[in-house]
Amino acid sequence: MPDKKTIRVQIYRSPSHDVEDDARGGKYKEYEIPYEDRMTILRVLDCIFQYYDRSLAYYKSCRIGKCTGCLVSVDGKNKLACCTLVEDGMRLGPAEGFKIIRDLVVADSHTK
Amino acid sequence: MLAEPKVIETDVLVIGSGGAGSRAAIEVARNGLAVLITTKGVSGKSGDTPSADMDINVPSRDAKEIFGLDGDIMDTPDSFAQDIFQAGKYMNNEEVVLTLCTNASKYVKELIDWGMDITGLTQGPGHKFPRGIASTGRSMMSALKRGMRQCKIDLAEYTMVTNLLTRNGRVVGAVGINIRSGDLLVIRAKAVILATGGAMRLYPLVTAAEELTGDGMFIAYQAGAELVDMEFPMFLPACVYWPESMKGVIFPYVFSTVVGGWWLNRFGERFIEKWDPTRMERDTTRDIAAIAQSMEISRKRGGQHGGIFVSFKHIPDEIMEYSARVCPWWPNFIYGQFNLLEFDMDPRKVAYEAGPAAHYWNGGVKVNGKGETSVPGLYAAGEVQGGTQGANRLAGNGVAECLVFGALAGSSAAAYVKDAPEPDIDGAQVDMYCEQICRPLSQKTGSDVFEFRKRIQDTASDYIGPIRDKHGLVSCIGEIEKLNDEAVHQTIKNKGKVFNSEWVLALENEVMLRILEIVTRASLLRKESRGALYRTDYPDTDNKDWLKNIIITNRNGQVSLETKPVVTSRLQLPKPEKVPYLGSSKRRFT
Repeated sequence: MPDKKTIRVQIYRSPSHDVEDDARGGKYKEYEIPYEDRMTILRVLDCIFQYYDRSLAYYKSCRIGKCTGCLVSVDGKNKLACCTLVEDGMRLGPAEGFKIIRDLVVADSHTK
Repeated sequence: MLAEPKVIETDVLVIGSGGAGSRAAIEVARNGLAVLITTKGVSGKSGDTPSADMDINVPSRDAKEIFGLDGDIMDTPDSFAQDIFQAGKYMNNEEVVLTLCTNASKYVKELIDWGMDITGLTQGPGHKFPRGIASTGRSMMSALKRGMRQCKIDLAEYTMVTNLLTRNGRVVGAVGINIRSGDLLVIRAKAVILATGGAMRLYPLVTAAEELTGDGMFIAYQAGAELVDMEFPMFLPACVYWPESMKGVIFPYVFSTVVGGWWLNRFGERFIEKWDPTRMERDTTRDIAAIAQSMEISRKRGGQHGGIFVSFKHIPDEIMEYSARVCPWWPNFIYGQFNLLEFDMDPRKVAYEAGPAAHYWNGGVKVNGKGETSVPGLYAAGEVQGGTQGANRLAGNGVAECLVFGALAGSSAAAYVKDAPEPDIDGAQVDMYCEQICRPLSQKTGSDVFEFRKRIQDTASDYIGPIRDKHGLVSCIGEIEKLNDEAVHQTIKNKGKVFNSEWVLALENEVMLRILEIVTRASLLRKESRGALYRTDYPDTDNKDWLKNIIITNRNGQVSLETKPVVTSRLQLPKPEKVPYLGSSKRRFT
């Protein structure tokens, strides 16, 4: 039986797809997407990227809570997107304490 | 009109920033040469090393004498090598295996000196002695970072290398893109070390990280290097199939080996009883387990999400709770960062729908004991290399291979560079590759990049999983021919420059499609079952006619295959006869 329930999240979007977002000059945009059983924040981002907006930038690697690359700010607190269950109305932004590249992708301290 | 690529110069380019790439770069830098690491992601946050729950194998005698652990002095590098050879079903390259066994301790010792934590010594299945020094991928990466800080190493993160540049048969550099800026890149280098890991992402169900799309194997093949043992991708049994958010997580398998889970089909039968009745779930080998689970699934004896069921409900809660308290893998029912109770995955209450997932790439770019490939100036280290694991990897060998061959490839490349000519780049080759790279940005009609990836992965899942046969493999070639026609017409919606993930997907898809073809053609040629490959139409292991490796090369754009007999001087080969895959003619997978 298809699950008709939907979920809304707000996601930080940078102003341009062509230049880095040096000044945190973006805005939060709301998305409403179908809810999936035990949906994590990473699954939400995957779903938005694949079906709603291919320009969304976010980082993922291991998907199992080990590489820590998918760290994002969830209502102001840094959490791993892959292991955190989504809740309706969550506000997702780039991880706090890092320089932004674009949307949810931040520059690691090792990056030149 | 193409933008002018940015040119970067270095002595040695290392592609990949995991265990093998990091260790290789250290070795190059110690030789006083310039070295650049590129990675599609972020160093320490990409590749498979950071997420490994790992053992690193050393000869058991060294475990005791060098590391002060409870090793056995009766073990030698040769007896370790023989175990690898037996587990690899005699497909391994003797020189490579002996190099691994004689050098592992030296490089593990170095990591411990750089601060890697070790938590004990384990004896994995297939090992005659305890050889696995237990640690974690994160601890190993921290140690390697400490080692790297003592050297001068340049790092280009968010950088995908898409092709190698060659001149007169030598490698002279590479082209690629800077994912962060969208710039095209030309990297002039006297030598290149591939450390890109496997191609497990070819499959939809996978335990490996996002980046593992087989890039190193593809670019080596395209540049003329030999690949070997590509018909033996390894599958780990009992990985999560549902929920979607946990797909590919390995804890049902890990718990099964710790506390003895039952693997059930939809009739509630412990199907392993039919095929490995003495060892059952806990002690059977990973190749047999993956084939058994695939067999149940393909015979429609699985569940609604395509898996079999892993259940711990026969075990009293008290035992599960005790195990969750004392076992380092899942303190208080938290595996990795997944809180199993929060995810409704409490093993006391639910059976998990689970099954095989692509876990490791046994084959790869053919190397010798120095990490040299068949192309001058090109080296391969770690999972991307072929020859170490043969048809099946012995537990604990993945990381050992990264360290030993990372260091050896680094040292071989450094020696080569000292006499190598200045790289002379062919402008026409650069232009051709740059045009191919940019194609998805201007393509207006054709297959959507996601749909295209899904078709590649579904084809891999349908035809080149743990069980294969001629009929399926021939159908697979037909699918590949259709996909080939469409590959150059992939479309992407986002044409932006900064962090355009869709563009990366399109470039990876072309790599994955070629790997799909190579695995399929090699599987079709091998008319027997061995290690990680089970052919239902040839169910025996044929040690009479098939003690041979399949070597793959690119002949004018066509996949060319040839067989070479396995030759050894120290390792013992089996009797030249056909033997049933499951050891007894009474048992056949049906």
